[in-house]
Amino acid sequence: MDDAPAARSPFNGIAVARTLPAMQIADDDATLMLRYRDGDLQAFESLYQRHRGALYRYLLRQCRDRDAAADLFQDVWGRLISNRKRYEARARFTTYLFHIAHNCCIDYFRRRSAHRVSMTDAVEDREELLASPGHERPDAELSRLQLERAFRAALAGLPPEQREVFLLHEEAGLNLDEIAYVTRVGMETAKSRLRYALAKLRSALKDERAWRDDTR
Amino acid sequence: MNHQNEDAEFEAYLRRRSRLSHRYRELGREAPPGELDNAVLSMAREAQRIREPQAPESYMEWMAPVAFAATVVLVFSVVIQIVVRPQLAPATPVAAANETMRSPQSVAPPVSELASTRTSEPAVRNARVQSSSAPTASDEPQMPVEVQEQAAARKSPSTVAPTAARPAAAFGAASRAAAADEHLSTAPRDPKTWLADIERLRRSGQTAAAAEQLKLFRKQFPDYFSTHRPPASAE
Repeated sequence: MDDAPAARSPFNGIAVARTLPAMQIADDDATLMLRYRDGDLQAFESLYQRHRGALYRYLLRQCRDRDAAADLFQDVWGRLISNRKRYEARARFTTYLFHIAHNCCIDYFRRRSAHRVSMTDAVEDREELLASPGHERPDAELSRLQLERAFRAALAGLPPEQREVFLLHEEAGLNLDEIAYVTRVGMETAKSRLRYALAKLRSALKDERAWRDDTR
Repeated sequence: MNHQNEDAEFEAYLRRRSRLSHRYRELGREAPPGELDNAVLSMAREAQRIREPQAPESYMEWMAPVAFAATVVLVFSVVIQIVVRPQLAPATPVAAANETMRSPQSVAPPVSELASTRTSEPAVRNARVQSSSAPTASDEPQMPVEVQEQAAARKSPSTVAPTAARPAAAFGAASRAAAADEHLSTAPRDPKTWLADIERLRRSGQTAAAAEQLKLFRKQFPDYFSTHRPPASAE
């Protein structure tokens, strides 16, 4: 896929090592962004409403720190706002938005030390336990919460690159080409990372009762 | 077989039909707090309110071509001044002075000056007569060198200050008349014409001037009367 026709980067002002593969360019989000670029504030509000949750969850699960996620969230939208005049609809808006988010996360991880992140993990895990005391819940609910906690723990235990491709697929809805573009790797690399992530998650959940009982 | 299952699961996952995706979506749909929403939306509003640097006005689009045209005109003018004008200008200052002397406006004195120099009027008239038959510019190289220098020295003051203050003007006219007389006496002339002029002076009653001219004639042509008959005035 790397030999796909080179497209001009839609990410003005942002360093992009690879070129985006050919894809459907015009979408509703891109239209809204173009309207906002031309001064329509309501278009931005619509755009924001559509993507605020997915972006926030992506950032929260990537950095696993609510304060840091809030800062990054503002940073991403701030960059989008300040670069709006140079926006051109050459790719899906979601790809554009999460490419900015990816860059913000990279900057964040560079600033933070690994020690600081592991402490945050501990705090988040403790908050989860306090929020859902098992002795007040019925068995089914308890096993569901245990599965949920195991899922969070397994997700947090993934290497950052594998966690990112999983979140980009789940939260942003990006396909493998787009994930590869956003994370600046080859499509096969992105696919491989996603396979590893899925395998690790399944492996971590297979012993949970709720997971075994799930017939879907 | 195991690989085939994995591939099938992976394809199902990519199509969002896997159990894992369902379970992930049940993790919780955290959303940004309201303060964060307000902060972002106010950031967007503020960015819209603060105007971007103004796009250049329409006349600014013409600035570059106009500046270019002005530069071309300026360069063209300078080239004209440097290259073309010197060719149009007189070759030497002496030639310019001669041009000035030949123009009738610079030579002819005002009427009032003529009135104040009535006594020397015949001489001036003679000078004019002489100047009409005087050698042209092309004949000038035939004149003796010292005569040319004297003529240039006499001509130049009148070109530098042709019309000074009024009291000086009368003196200037008189001196020009005297210069004309002197020119009459020193310029190389045809002996017959000169003698005819002297005879004319004598007949008009200017015997002193005629005698003076005859004296100069004898000085210029000492042997003339040894071969020709002298005029009546000379006798």
